[in-house]
Amino acid sequence: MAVRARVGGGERGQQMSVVVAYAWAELPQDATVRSDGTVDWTAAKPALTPGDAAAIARGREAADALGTECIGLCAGGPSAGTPSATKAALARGVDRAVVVADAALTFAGATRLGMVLAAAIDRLGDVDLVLTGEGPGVSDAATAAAVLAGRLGWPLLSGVTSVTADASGTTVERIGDRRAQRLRVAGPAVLAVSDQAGQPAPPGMADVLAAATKPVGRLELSALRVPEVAPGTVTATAKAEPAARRGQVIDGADAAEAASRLLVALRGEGLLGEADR
Amino acid sequence: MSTYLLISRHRGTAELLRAASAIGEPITTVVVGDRALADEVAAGGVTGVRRVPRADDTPVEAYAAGVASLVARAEPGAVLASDDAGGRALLGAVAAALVAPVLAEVTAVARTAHGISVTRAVAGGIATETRTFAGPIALALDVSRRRASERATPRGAPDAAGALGSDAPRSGASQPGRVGGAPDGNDAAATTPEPAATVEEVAVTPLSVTVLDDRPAERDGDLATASRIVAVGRGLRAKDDLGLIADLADALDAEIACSQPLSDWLGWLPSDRLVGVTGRHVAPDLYVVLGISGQPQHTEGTRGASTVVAVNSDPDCPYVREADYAVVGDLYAIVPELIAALETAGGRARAR
Repeated sequence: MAVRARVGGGERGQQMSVVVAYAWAELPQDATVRSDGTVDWTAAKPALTPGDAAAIARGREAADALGTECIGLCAGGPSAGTPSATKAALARGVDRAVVVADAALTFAGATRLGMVLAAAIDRLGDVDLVLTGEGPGVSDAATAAAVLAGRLGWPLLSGVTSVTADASGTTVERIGDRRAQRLRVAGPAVLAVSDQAGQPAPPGMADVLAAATKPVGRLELSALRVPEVAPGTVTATAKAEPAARRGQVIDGADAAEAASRLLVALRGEGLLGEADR
Repeated sequence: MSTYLLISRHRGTAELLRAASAIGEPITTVVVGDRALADEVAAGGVTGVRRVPRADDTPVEAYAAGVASLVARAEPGAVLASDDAGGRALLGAVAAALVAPVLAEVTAVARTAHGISVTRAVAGGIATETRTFAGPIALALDVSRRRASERATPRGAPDAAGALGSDAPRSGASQPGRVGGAPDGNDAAATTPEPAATVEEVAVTPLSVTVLDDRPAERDGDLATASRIVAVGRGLRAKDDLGLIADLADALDAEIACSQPLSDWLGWLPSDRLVGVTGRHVAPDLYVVLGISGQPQHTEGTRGASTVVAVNSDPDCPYVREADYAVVGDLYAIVPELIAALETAGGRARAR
């Protein structure tokens, strides 16, 4: 494992880049479940998630503050290397895109994806801040970010809503577990940016046109020499069943009575505060 | 091979212990936190506890690299953590060190003749998938979803294993073969508690991350952290009627959410209010649903909710069956009465 933690609190050199690792994956909103319980993805279209869009925006800001470049990095199946995919990131503000597009990575597990991203970052060199998108719909991407951080030997901070990068480190604000925190990272880090970090405006025509002129680099999966990860054997698939619920029905014909009965039940469960008694 | 648990907080500990016990191997726990948490876990029937003291101004994530080295040396067959920020950071580092597959949104674990069987939600939760692994694996347990699925008996009554469903680990929870999360759902009765395991102190140097400020999140619109949510759907007739919904949310000290039509189609609410397969997955204590029929595209985002209250005029809509409490009536009549009753009781509700 390549451990890239910096020792001490040395100054960032201007050659240190900011990388935004974004996903280009089919989102589940248009996926359906077949009668055998398997998922049918044919109608699902790949796209950037709102979390990735927020991550690119925060990455752009961090790179500008540091006077360095912002690199978009994507690893996935063949669609990750298509012009649609690269332009989606380039138009949102990365200076160049680097892709690892290989059929072997289609629906790759989080461990393999995270290790591929780490190997690609090792190839890029001189990177000390990686941002990823976090948000609904792509849970494997969040776990891949954790593997990426682990492979690099860097801390992973999730739920990030604000990033302020300077010469000696990064100040991060985040929300999670019903708490709001502000943290300071002295060395390199992987930051998972929440989709609640503020959605940037969609790219305009000038951004789209500029994207066509920005460079796209490709890394071959075979050259990264990432070990295989055993995928396991699928033994069962099923449509998700709803969680067991009480199923208590209250007739709402008399609205006042129904409201009263409901609130009595909720107070009985301790779900309403003392002020309501 | 042993099973390792990575624990950094009280919440979810009981669920993790039950899942680990289903694998049937000795359980060693790495606790990143204070001695009280380590002692609590040690009393939960595990084989051993290795406690990593955590500085108050250093987040759990800063210890991930050191914990990964510690766990990897033990060559475990399975490593489990809760599917939250701290758990994922620890688990991801361990998975990288072991080059082991890591799976999130896990709801059930079992030992089979062919290895360890893992069931998890996939594709935004519209389906589940079970895979069997012969080699080491890392599992992020969806504690809120597991807790909701384990609620097979009325609240307050013992479940099939004799526990009351508290967050504290139960004595005897480590019975090998007691499948708290097996696909077939079997769960034996509790047996005599085992003596508490020894707590070994292990010093781990954290990476340089410092907490500068830490405070409770205010009611700031973050659905992921909200303890109460009022969600509205197409039963709302006009955008101007959102004021009525806001009044109920104020009375309950709740956040406002919506189904897909109101955000993506009508634009009445921003997309960060959307709950469902393509929106937020929430786990509030109380989820009040107004004028939403209960299609899977929405309900999948609410599986972690402790209590669901639905108000709908259609007695045949899915939510009437899939809520804890369903009021069948006109929301335009019911909601004002709820607001009036809450305000008459002496002020706004207090979020717990």
